[in-house]
Amino acid sequence: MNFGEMKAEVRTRLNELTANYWSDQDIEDALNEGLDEISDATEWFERMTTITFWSGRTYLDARSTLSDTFLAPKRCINNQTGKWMEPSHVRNQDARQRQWEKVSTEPEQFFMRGIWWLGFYPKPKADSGSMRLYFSSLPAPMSLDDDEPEFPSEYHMGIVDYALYDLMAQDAETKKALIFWQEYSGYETGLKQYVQQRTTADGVGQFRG
Amino acid sequence: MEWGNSVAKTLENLRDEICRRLGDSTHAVWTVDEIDAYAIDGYNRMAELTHCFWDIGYLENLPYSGDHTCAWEIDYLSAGDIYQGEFKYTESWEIDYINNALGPANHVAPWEWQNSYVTHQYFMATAKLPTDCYQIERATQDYQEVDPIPSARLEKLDSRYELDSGLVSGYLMDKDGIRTLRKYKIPSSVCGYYTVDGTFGIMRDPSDITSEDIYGQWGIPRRIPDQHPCGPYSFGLPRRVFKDDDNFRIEFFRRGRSVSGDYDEFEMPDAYCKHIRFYGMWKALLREGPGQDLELAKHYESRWVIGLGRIGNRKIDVKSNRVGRMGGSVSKSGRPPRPSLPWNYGRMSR
Repeated sequence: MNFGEMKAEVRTRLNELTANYWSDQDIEDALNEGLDEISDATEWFERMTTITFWSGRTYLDARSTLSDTFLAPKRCINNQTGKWMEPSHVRNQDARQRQWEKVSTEPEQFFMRGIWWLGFYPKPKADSGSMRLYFSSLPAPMSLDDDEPEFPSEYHMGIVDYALYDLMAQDAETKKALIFWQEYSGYETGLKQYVQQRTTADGVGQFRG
Repeated sequence: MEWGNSVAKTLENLRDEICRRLGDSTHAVWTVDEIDAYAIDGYNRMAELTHCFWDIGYLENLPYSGDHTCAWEIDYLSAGDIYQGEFKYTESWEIDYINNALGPANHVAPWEWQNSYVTHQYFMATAKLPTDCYQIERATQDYQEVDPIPSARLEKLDSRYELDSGLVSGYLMDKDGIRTLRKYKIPSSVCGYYTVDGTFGIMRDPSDITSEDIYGQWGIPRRIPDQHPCGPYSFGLPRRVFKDDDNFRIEFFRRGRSVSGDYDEFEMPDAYCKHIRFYGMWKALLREGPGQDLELAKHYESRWVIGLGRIGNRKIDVKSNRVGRMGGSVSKSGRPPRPSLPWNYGRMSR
């Protein structure tokens, strides 16, 4: 279901086929809010980028490096060593070595401080080299009628339900809004399970598959 | 589809969003001040509850310089004057004669001890925490982690902890004032520091502090090896430069950048500002009077709580991704195994 079809579906369900009470902009905003919410909740939108190492910098601000739609890191690989970097925690580093922040060579582990600062151990030794980071993010909002979310179409109707919830809530139609919220929540739960169980749901090649 | 890129919201943006969704764009029911108060409250609550703003600060191990005795004197400093600390006495024995006094400080500018004009260098064990600090996450002395110690425990371990100088190996924060940290022991050696020429404005030439190659020649230094950009207003730019050698560093969670005017931007990305919007709508719909809708208020409260939970999960997400190693992500809970004799230990016979 693309953006144009979603807008038409919302208008149909509002029983308002032409812009009268709700403007096109209202509906577009509500649909994009739905896309934003389902993406934030399920983290389905996964991307990869190459990040250049900076000499002597233990920490990197993911907001400024990856745009502020960054949500969470997933995996990363050091392009020099060809090794996947191990997710870790600052306490592990403290337990490892007393002055671990002084060590500078090829990074082997990464960890988070707060929700935007990405830390490395060891810190990069030079302004050369890079790593490939896989992370979840928010997608760009839909603008053209042909724009379509990349996640499976079975869950696209969730965005429509969210838009209806949002519009009803704006109109102080609380009961209707909460019904649409329930509908939307079902799609969100389904997509979240889909995202989290992509690997484990594949039974082929396993005992009792 | 590429990842998005949003612009930071201003207080006015967020207020307009809240009011539009409340159906009150003309502020007939909820005033501008009321909505702003809810938004700012939500912003601060979110920072406090999720610890989303992480930062680094230094409580330097330097001889204490003092140039004024009351806080109100700061307003009378002239342009170009360097602000030093507040002090009330100049020799250590005077502390018993002055209540709640800061000090001692026996000089007014660092060059006095740097050039050996001061016969005794007094270090302060206590230091004021940054005013926007919510919680210290980790502290280090000379790159090494140091632990917090409750004063009740420390006074049994070392009853002279307020008097003796030495290597800083811990800190306490439970008796010297709500925003005061006391180092244990009192620092005895001067930390590494940079000497920077000039007293006015921001650093233009980083050659005083680094021998690294300088790229570009326009504007201000954006990035310097080993320097972390400190504070909410220092995006990409080291404002003050510190060395970690023999220095005391705190890594802490802080309040977000101050927001009060219409065009002030929230420090967090859009994806997180929407949770503040839910908070504002929850509070607006909850209050007595026209516009009250308790059912919808409860719904927005639940969305606020869900949002905070989401942020909390992201903070631990990386750690929980540790797989493929012994003792990875799963913590073993439950009772420890009961003690038992080795299997080949002789059985008791009658």
